[in-house]
Amino acid sequence: MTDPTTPAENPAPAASGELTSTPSAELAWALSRMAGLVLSRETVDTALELVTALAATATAGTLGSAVTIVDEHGKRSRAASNQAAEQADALQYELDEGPCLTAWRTRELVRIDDTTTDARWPRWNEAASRLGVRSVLSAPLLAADESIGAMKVYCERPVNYGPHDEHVMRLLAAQAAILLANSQSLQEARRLSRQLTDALTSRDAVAQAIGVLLAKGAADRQDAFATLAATARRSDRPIEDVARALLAAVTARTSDSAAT
Amino acid sequence: MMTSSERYRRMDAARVHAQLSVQDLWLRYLALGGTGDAFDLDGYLQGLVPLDTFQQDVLAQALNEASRDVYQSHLVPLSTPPAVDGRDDDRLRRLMDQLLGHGAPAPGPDLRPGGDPEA
Repeated sequence: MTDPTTPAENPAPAASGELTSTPSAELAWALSRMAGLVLSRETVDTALELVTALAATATAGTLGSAVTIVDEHGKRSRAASNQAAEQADALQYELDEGPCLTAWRTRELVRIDDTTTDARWPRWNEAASRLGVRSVLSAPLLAADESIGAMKVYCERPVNYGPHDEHVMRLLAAQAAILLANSQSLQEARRLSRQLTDALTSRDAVAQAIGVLLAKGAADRQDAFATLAATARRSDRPIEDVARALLAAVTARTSDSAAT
Repeated sequence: MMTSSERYRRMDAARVHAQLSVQDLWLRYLALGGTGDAFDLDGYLQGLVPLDTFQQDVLAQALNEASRDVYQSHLVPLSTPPAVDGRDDDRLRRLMDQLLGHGAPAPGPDLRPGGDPEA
């Protein structure tokens, strides 16, 4: 598989056909699953789990896989197909070194043929080999020129991955990055829409309370707002609570005077 | 009186202290009736564009409420929690009676710097 005379783009599946009979069919299935996900189940967590599972099935001999994404606030989300993959992934952030971090930072695919001999990430390699991780392939997730994270597959045998697997990981990572970026945007849009609805509910109450104070002789809206703010401070409550209490008091008085 | 340049700097410092992004602050400001957009706030907090005094007041209130939330989230409860009584609600009800009973309500003394909330 690592024959240097065979370019990765060579369509002849001679070398790769030994381990999985139809890698291109698996990959096509993987890519179409991801394309459909945007329309059906859209949460970031679901997308992460799917991409993790697909990475494991699309590369031959893979024992575990993990995906990490970083959103614009620097918050990390990740998924791993099993415990060793999760621990190996977590170790990178503890040690602040490792193939995924390098793939993410340099935007280049990283391949480790043997963690017991690779000298690039000495601390991580040592810890990972103790977890039974010998060969690793890690691809950056690039969405619209932005590096949003990295995905990784590992095998307990050394020299498991070759140019064909690099090619598969590049294809998979390109699709996964689009899916994950879209899921992130959608989740962010939903969060904002919920926050806006809450904000507008509060705003309604504040505006009505200002209206009540204007009817009671407040000079203008600024004056009415200052009154609400002063009351909020004296009662140690947020303005929204004061506005609601004021509206409730007005309603109670109106129904009292209607009853008498 | 605080100069206007001191005011935007203090507001941005309060925003950072309350760990609010400009967007989160804008949502709080919107909830209190603010009419500027997030870019207006961002520009004001960086001293690039002016903001009218009413909008500044709404923004200040939004920041004060956020700071209060942060402060309260750090309070450590005592081993014996105080008995829940209706004092807070009573106080709020009395304040409402004042607001609705006294015609044009004047802002309390605590609005001015150094005012005693209980005065």
